Amino acid sequence: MVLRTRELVIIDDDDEDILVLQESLANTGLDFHLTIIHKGCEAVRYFEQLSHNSLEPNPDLIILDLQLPDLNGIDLLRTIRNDPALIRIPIIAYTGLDDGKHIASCYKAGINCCIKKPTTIQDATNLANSINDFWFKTLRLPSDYQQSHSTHNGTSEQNVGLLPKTMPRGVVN
Amino acid sequence: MSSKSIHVLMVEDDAEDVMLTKEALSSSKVSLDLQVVEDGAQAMAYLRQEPPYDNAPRPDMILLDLNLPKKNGREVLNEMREDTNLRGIPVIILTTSDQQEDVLKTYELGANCYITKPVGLEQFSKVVSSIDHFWFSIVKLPHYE
Repeated sequence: MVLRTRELVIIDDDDEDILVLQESLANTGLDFHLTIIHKGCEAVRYFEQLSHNSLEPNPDLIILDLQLPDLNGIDLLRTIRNDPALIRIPIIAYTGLDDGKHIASCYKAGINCCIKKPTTIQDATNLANSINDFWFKTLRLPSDYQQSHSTHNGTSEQNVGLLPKTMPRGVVN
Repeated sequence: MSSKSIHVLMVEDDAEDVMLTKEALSSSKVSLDLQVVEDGAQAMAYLRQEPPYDNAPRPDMILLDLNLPKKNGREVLNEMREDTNLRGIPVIILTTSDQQEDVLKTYELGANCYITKPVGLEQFSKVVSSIDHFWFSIVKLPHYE
């Protein structure tokens, strides 16, 4: 698979959960740059900006907490999947709910996969290893076929109101 | 994950790939029921429970090749995503193609992930085991009552 810095976005309001997952991902050896979005309204703005800026490359993967207090995750998913500029972005959603109907709705709305939100460090480690091994070493991703956009090394964190400014321009089909 | 078997439909016309997949999944930690159809028309008949698949269980996940007789994988995916009853079934594309057009188009059509079959038996088995681990141990699959 393609070896380059991966652009990840986590949409979650829990700083501790984000930190645990971020550290777990770093421990896998994955070279990634992380954009963190805490609020539903920031997520909506992020996707609007990504949609309107055709020169900005899409991230490799978005990890979305479906239970943000100010966001209807299913509605956001539908919006993304109805937008030609965003339709291909891989999105893993995590949820604390074990409701079969809710999970089925996520898949119908266009989630790539739904996972249980990690609640322990061991869970987060397992998830991070799986994301690295399966998502980045086994799959072909849409972003593998777009111009690499990041020269950023290691891990970092960025609160988003605007698109990350560290990204050099790339091409989105 | 519930204790009932996970139903997987493999849409694949290459007998060797089917055999290798069955072999790799035989060591799965979960109880799997793998059904195989050989072309896209059979796949749609299976999914819609049309004869001779009247009693076919709804798959929890589909492994879909792209280059298939009668109806190709893209057509199957497109028909599934336009059908409200089938839209939510996760589809993993497992194909020899690594062409940009195939990757981008199938994600656009709603593929959940895309894997290019590796060359070599050992690598192929490793990929299937990787699917097994991620999709059946980490992921929450949709279950319909």
